[in-house]
Amino acid sequence: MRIVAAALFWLVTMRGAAAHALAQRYDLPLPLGFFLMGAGAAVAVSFVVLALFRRNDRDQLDAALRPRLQGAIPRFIVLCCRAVGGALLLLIVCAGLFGNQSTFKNIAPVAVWVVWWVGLSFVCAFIGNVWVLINPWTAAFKLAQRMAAPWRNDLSLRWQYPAWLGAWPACALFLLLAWFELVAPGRDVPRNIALALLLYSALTWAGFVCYGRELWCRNAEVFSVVFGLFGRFAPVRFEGNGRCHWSLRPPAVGLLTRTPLDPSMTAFTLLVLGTVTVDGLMETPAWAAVVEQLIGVQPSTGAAASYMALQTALLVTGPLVLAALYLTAVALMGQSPVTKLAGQFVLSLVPIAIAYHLAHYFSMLAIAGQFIIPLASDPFGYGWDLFGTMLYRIDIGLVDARFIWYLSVAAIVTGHIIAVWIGHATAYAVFDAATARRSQYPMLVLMVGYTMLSLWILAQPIVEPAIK
Amino acid sequence: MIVSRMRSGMIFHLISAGWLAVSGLMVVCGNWCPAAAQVAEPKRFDLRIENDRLSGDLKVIRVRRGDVVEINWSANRRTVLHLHGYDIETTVEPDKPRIMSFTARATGRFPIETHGRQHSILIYLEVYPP
Repeated sequence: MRIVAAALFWLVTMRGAAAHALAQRYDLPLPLGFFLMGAGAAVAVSFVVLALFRRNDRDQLDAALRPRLQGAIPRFIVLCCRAVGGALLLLIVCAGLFGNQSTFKNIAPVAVWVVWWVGLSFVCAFIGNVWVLINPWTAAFKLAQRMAAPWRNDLSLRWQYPAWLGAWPACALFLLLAWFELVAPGRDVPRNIALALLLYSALTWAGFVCYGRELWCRNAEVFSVVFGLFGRFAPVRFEGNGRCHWSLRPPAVGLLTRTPLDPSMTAFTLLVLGTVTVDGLMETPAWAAVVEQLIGVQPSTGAAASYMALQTALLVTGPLVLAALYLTAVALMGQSPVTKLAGQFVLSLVPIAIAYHLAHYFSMLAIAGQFIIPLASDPFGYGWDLFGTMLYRIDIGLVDARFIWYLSVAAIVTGHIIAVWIGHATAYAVFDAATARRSQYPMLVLMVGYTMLSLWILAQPIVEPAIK
Repeated sequence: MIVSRMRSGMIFHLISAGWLAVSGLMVVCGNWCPAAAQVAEPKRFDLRIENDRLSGDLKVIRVRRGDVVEINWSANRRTVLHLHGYDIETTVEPDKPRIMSFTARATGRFPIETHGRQHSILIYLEVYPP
């Protein structure tokens, strides 16, 4: 316990490189014309869907959910995926602990924050939740279980998991992860990343041993839960329990659910959606003005600490505000029980967040992601040249600003259409036609607001508050 | 039932068609890059740093892709400057002004930081598509 506390303390006090050190280039703010085009299209399509949507056949929900094509994944591919996942985690931890401690000379920061956290979330959202195949913690646990087979049938103690706990541990861990990503000062320092991964590995394996792997992955392994959430949007569904399977379905229909999410998963979803937005809000001039107003621009001792406190406050408040607005919209549907309906409709907001996430992070992935090319040759920053790519210089002109503007508007509008469509399809599946239509007015207001907020953030120049 | 199926199918097709149109447009616009017709005058900016802060009201340097940019730095004490992305580093001394000169070949928003005991952003360079 003392070691953990000491490590956490070190993590908090260690001053790393400047904030946003991973960003070499920011996107230009969305020009007014693009902003208006996106906003207008979002409002217009909302009414088009509203006018055209008349699906009141409940069986169609099941038809949409039925997979179109499916198959088993060959055993050796599954083993390869697990080996790659495990090896990469080991490499990142070793590089973080023993390698060069400068952010761009060590593979850990780029591999974790750019490739894993951003890149993998895109893969999960637009292709399929590959995390179930490459999850290094389950891979290692399965291997350990196999090796221990002669002595013990089952490595996990299978304690009774308290039902009331639900996915709340995942919520807490996601908040911690988001705090580490967005607020913690030493987040770009390789050693901090490695230590955080080691702590998290210990926690995860302890959870597997106490409650069983499936249960822990469903409720507390935060990467499984968040990639699972994004994976509902994807056209390919991967299942990793027992024999591994894939199945094909139309995109986004995974967000339609017959059974409502339980309150803890509803909260988790709202937390993810809120955090995605807060991430962008923290870079707007409006936020910088608030911070400078509250802290003052003159350099002072404790300015960094109070800035962190403010960011933490925003990180907590953002999702709470979204949750309050969402629950209000659900309550305004005039049907009960509200908790059940909240679990039924929350997934319809996910496409808006995925679209914003894509618009916000696409260029970062394309440009900062290139650092993985030289780093693959020299993961520890020792001056190796394993693949002959060590001298690769990243191309900051790879994605043009105009391309990003079109991509942003197209993504936001498409995400909005899908969100409205999912909301309607769900409403027509759970209510009768008249109620379904009426129930979607408050949701539509919320969705338009959420989409406008995303567009507004994209139209802001990215700044950092001038306090240090 | 058939009508409803047609309607929802229509929405789906509308979405797909819109998506395709926009992505086509994106590809065209992304790759569309008119050759710089003539070598224009360089865009010049004179910036003065006082105690690691910029004097004057300029918050953003705005140029277009293809412009030749010259930033003339002077400072009242030794300051290390770093233009991110383009990755140009320069050290300005009180008696030695320095010129950062480069062609703005990539669009985007790039911070220019002082790198000393702490990193703080002085100003942003914005390169817009032509």
